Amino acid sequence: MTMRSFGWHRAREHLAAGALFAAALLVPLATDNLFLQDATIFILLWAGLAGAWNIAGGFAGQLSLGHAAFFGLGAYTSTLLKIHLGLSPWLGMLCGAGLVVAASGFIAFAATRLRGPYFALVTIAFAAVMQIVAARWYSFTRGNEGLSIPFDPGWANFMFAGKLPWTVIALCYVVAIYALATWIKRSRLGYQLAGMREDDDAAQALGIDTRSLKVLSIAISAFLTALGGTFYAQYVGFVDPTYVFSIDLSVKFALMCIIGGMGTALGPILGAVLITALEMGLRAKWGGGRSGLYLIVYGALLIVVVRVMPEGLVAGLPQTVRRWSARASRAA
Amino acid sequence: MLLEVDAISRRFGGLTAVSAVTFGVSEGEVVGLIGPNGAGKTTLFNVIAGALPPSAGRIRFADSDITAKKPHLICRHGLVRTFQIVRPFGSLSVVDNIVIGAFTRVRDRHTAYAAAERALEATGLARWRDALARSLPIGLRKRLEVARALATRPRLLLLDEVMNGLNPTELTEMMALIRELNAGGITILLIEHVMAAVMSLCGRIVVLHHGEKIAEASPREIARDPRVIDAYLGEAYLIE
Repeated sequence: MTMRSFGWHRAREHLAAGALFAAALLVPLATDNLFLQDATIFILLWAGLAGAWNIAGGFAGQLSLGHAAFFGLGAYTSTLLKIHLGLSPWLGMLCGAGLVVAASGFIAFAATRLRGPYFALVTIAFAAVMQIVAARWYSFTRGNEGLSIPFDPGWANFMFAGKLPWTVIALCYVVAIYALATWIKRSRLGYQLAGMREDDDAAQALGIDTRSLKVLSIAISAFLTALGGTFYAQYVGFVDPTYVFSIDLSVKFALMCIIGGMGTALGPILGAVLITALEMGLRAKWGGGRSGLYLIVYGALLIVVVRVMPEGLVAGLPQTVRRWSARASRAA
Repeated sequence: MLLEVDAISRRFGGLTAVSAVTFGVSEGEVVGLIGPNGAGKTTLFNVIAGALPPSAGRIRFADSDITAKKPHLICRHGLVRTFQIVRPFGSLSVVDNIVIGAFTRVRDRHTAYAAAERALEATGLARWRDALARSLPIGLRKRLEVARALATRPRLLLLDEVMNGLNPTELTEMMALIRELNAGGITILLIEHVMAAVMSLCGRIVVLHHGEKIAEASPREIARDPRVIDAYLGEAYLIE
């Protein structure tokens, strides 16, 4: 696929993204349904996080399964700074993101030495270590009891009574990441990342400093993930190591991006919409009593999606629609 | 001398793949590097281009020491290699493969695409501009390998068996391309087994055998050199 020749293709992507953004903003304005409003905020948050993962995992081809480490560090940093020092979570968010950029150096170091599954294993271990530290350092983090953020609405406190401000902030997060991905794709950086992803040695032979590109892409990805971590902590009002550092979360970021389409701007958003809607819808319908049933259905549906569209929704949806319409017109 | 290879050795454990090889390439030359399989030709390329550090020896290129420098720095310095086993960026189009090379010298898209279009024309790949690189047959992949390297604006191009496995038409085209590049000011060092091509393209030939340089001379002399005949050519090679 050429990156340049599909002008219409790109316009269609922007249209789809714009429609989704508008729809997300409409939800808190048009309905009082709290479940829908809550689902929208989470879809936006996950879309942003999947987009953040995409910078390292999709564009740079560094398949991290430890991004929960960055998410959790972001969530914990702003929360601890708020609780212990009374620092505004907005500043705490920046501190967390800064800290995470430093921590991402460890992952980047692994990335410059290890490839494929070995790299993924190191990232998993990294998040696991973070989880253990947060769980054991009781005096500082209150361990597995977790930390609650007192509910005290106001812009300075990054806390709101209504859903609209949350939606707007999450939307800004997603739009910024979408814009960044769109820019990367068409920039020198994007081409060099594509070369590195395809063949590291060949890219180096063509003058690409792949080591620096890995460090850079992982740092950007980690930074954005930490921002999402703080948003999550503020919105939910509670942080505990079992969830924020979990492998489930790391896999979720990767999965949404892979399902949606790696290395595309729209993919992580589509993946987040599909997976979050599935997850929340199925849990609402079949959760509770027959616990676990929804997970089986969820898993089965994911397998179907990956089988039908192995390259993700962005590439796969138009193809599938075309195939179906061709079949329909033949039948008619 | 544009390139000076000074007593380069490369060992892998107990095996000495390249042993104290010394030779030079002057600006504007086409130099051939030949020898039987396992003679150490590709290892020597890897050491020159920075993919492997040497065990001993120095390499100078364009008046600076590039010994054990990283491949991307050596490339930016103007020394670019192609791979014997071609390594296209398979899921990208032909033009985008070349654009990635062009971006090594330029920052903006427009200029990069303009440079890529020129490399497409120069290598005769324009017809396949939008094809996926992995869909190309081997002859075109070899040309893509050259086009991509060309887009980085090299002073010295290291070509690793770009003529092997080509049919006669493709071979003629590739030889014409190499002559054109050389006429355009690019110095060329090539590894090749296709003797007709080596003999007609190169002004000078370096012969490796068991990691050592056993001869260095003009094609005419090489073809008659008993050590080279013994080690590699098999029989006296006739140059028309």
